[in-house]
Amino acid sequence: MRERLVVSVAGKGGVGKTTTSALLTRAVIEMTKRSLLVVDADPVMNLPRALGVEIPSSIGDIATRLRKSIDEGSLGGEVAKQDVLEGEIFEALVEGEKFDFLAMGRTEGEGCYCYVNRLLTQILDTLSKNYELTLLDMSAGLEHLSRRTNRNVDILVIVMDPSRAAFEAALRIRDLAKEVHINFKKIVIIGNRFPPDMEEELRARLEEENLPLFGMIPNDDELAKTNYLGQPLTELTSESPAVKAVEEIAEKLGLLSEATMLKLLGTNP
Amino acid sequence: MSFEDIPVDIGVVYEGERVRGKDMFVELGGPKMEQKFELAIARDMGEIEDEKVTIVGPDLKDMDEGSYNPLGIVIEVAGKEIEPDLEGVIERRVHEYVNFVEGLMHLNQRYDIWIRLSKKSFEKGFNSFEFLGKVLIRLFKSEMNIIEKIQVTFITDPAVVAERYDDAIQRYEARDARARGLSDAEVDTFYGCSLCQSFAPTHVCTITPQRYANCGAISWFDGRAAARVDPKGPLYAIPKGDTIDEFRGEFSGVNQAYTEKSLGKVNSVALYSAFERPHTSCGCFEAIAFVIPEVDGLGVVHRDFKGDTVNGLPFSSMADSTAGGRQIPGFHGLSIEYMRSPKFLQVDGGWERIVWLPESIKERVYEYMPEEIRDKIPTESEVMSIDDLKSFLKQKDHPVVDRWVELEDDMDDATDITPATGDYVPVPGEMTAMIGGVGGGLEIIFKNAKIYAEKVIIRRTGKGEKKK
Repeated sequence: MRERLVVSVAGKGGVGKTTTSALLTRAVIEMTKRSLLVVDADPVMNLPRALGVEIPSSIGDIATRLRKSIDEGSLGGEVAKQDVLEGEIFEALVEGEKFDFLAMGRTEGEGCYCYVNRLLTQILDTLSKNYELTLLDMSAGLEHLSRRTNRNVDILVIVMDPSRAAFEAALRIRDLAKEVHINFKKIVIIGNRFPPDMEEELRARLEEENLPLFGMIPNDDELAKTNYLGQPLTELTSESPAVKAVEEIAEKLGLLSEATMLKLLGTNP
Repeated sequence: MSFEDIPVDIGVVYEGERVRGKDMFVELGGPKMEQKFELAIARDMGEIEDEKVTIVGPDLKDMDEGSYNPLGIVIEVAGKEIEPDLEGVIERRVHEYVNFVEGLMHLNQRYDIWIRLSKKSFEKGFNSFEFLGKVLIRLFKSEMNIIEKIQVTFITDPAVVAERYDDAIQRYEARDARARGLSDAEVDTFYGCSLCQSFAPTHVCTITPQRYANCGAISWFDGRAAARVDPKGPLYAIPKGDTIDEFRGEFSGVNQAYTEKSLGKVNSVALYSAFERPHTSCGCFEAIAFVIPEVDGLGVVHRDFKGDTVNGLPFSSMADSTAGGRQIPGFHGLSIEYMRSPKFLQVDGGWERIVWLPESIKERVYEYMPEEIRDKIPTESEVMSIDDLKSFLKQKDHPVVDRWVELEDDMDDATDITPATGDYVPVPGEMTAMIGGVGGGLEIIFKNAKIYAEKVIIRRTGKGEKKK
């Protein structure tokens, strides 16, 4: 059976989740031929720009539209909503040369979204099964965890910057994930923009919490310029120190080679 | 059933398979094609040549790699038990069966179909609609015994697709009109939803053709689709069972489902009442029907309505009293769609019992309100206090006014309690009062109560039980 892996990137706001997600995407598409679905689950939707993707509409737009047509009673009598949604979501999927992209966006209005959200979860689960790799860029809030929108996640990557708040957020994310019984096969930490001499201190502190430090993304002038100019991070050269660091992290996470699961579980083939 | 003559695999495992843009050989229908459709038609036995597959226009092997093509699929069926009412159900199976084919993706329905064939499957030899026709015919015949004869036509000639398109659209519209008119009496299965049970453990949403789910999101047709895909999921079939009382909406199957799912907390429900053993309310209801005792009528308020209603309470306060999966007479969670149903609270008098509702709901359901009542039900722009409500209803001669006369007649049979003096005192928390001796005792629960009454009247409700 073909192996499938779902990786979710989380962390406090502003720590560099989107940058990390974009660079992981770059590593996968540059170094492998694996089929990849990238999902921007952050309602702020920064990832499309970081990846240079144009999105026709977000899942939130579609759900809001559906909710609205429910309110107005304008849906075809006999047609089931799950069938309508399935097609619309596939239409919102951006099919790229190297990876496919989906933006979650946000829903508006106050109606009950229990049912719509459940349909979305089912449809996205089905869609994600078609890819060897699914990469989710999560929002800063913890709602997605409590709503269990990422319940089938294999690896949870928590990004931290050098701030106390980011550290505390990382612990909270880990605890909440446990509370709501999301069984990540692995939770790892990535440090972003730390001064190089802080690495050992950070590693030790994380070890006390049983959290492995999987890599550090250094300050990178080229990255900063590209970000500032609003250009896609996928266009960074392979000389960029951040790109190099994330490639190493991707390798360590098993995104670049086969037999990832075995590696993750620590069993010998 | 054998598919040995089909060059690709057929099976449930291929459901959910998506053919990505760069892997596809051709796209049929889809967003790039203006006209496409799939249609099931019930025919007479004599009109069908059994198991015939017809291709009108270019076949798959004649199409260019990477091209987009129009498509019409017509499934014609006949059999003693086949009737036009089943066309929708049969047509929907096309989606399922096409997806069973390795390397074929089918999305949407009706005039929205979107099919892709993968390069891989094409290269394996799946290069003709003939194969797809055979697969469909075999699956239909083996899974739906009522189909005695079936023939399948694939149309890819744009001129013919265009020619048949309008007819298809008219058939969908006629079917939708029928679906909208589908009554609870005509079906033998309802659907239950326990998506909200985490908020309200004893709540069971019963979804019938004429009573939409409380959240307003789930129709009977949605229930049917979901229960078919995932029968053990949160949306499940409820066999209607015996009809105990059609007018009140009491069915043995519904009662049994309630008993099981609420773990015995709720055992009997009248689907079309807000007062007597009403349908339970989750926390997600779109609107509340709330009793206004002063006029013996019901007001309705929805979630989006900001501020106080006619009784001085906002939606949120009343939602607290309504929610939680209990049967609370006079506080009833419901959907706006249910207000468009002919069964809408029919036990309580239906629209004739509604005495107040927000303007925005009124606009949405206006054409479903009986014409003679439309102008007799005020909104927030006309009436915002109980006193004004009384005079408005009286002036417009709202049907609920007739009930008042009956009430006043009963007054001599009532016990007066003299008004208490002094300011009222808010009582936080919950307070329970038990009253024994009235028909076996009843429980009154006050939550965060602020009660101020000028006069309390306790009336005997049963006739002929007066002490001699």
